[in-house]
Amino acid sequence: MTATTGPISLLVFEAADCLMAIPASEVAHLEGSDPLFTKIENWAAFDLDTYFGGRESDGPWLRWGRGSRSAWLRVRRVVDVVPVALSVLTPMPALFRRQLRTRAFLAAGVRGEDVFLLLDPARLTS
Amino acid sequence: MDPEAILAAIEQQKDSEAEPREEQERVPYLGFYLGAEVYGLPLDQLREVARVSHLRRVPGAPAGVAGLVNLRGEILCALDVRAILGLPAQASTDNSFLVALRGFGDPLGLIVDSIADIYAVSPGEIEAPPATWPAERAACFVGTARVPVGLMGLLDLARVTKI
Repeated sequence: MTATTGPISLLVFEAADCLMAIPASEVAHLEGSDPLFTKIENWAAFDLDTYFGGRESDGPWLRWGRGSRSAWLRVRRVVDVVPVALSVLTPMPALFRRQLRTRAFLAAGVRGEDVFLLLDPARLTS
Repeated sequence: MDPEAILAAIEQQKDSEAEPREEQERVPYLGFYLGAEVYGLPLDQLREVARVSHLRRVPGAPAGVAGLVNLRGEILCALDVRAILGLPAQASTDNSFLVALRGFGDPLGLIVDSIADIYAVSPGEIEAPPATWPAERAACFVGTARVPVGLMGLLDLARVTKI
């Protein structure tokens, strides 16, 4: 009997002029664009546009969680939820893994003709 | 035949034998343009040339990285040679070419303006980069060679790809 890994479901979104994705199973829910809750709750919050050197986004917030770790991620817009086979993901080239900011990207994949980046929110540093 | 004539004949024969050997030593280079300047890389380090399409910038990447490119389903890291060599940025990469390289751990390519030709260069024709080039730029070359379209800078790919 051979064990096979099926496709994983990814939430694809735009942030920092780029297509990014995180596992849909790690997204607890979406919030509106009002950032007040980040002041009320003492959780890590990352506006991905500003994190990667751009201007503050006015898009929605995602609540991401994995085990005991969680964070709010602000994106520009949510694009889609797509099933992606692990075999079509390519590990990020070494030069990206050495950089403080880009080491948050685990892999790259193709959606249609376009390239998206698989983000690991656990690697975002404040 | 006197000994001098024999020696001269032997020397002439040596010269005529040496020519084909030198021909064999000529290394083919792919010549490409960045602006009006021509640059070259050894053909044996070239995988393919393609039009640039679907170049995706990677936020937070170093200046020498243009982004990621989807090349028929394979994702390549495209390097911005202009930035690496300290040349002015190109307004758009819409008409640019991707020169995909072989022999590197990760799939890599270079973004270039256009393709010139393939030039055969013998090691003896390679000269040091002009003294007028800044040291940082000169370090990216193994040398230069004169080709029909001008002075071709021969890229040191190991250096250029070390970002």
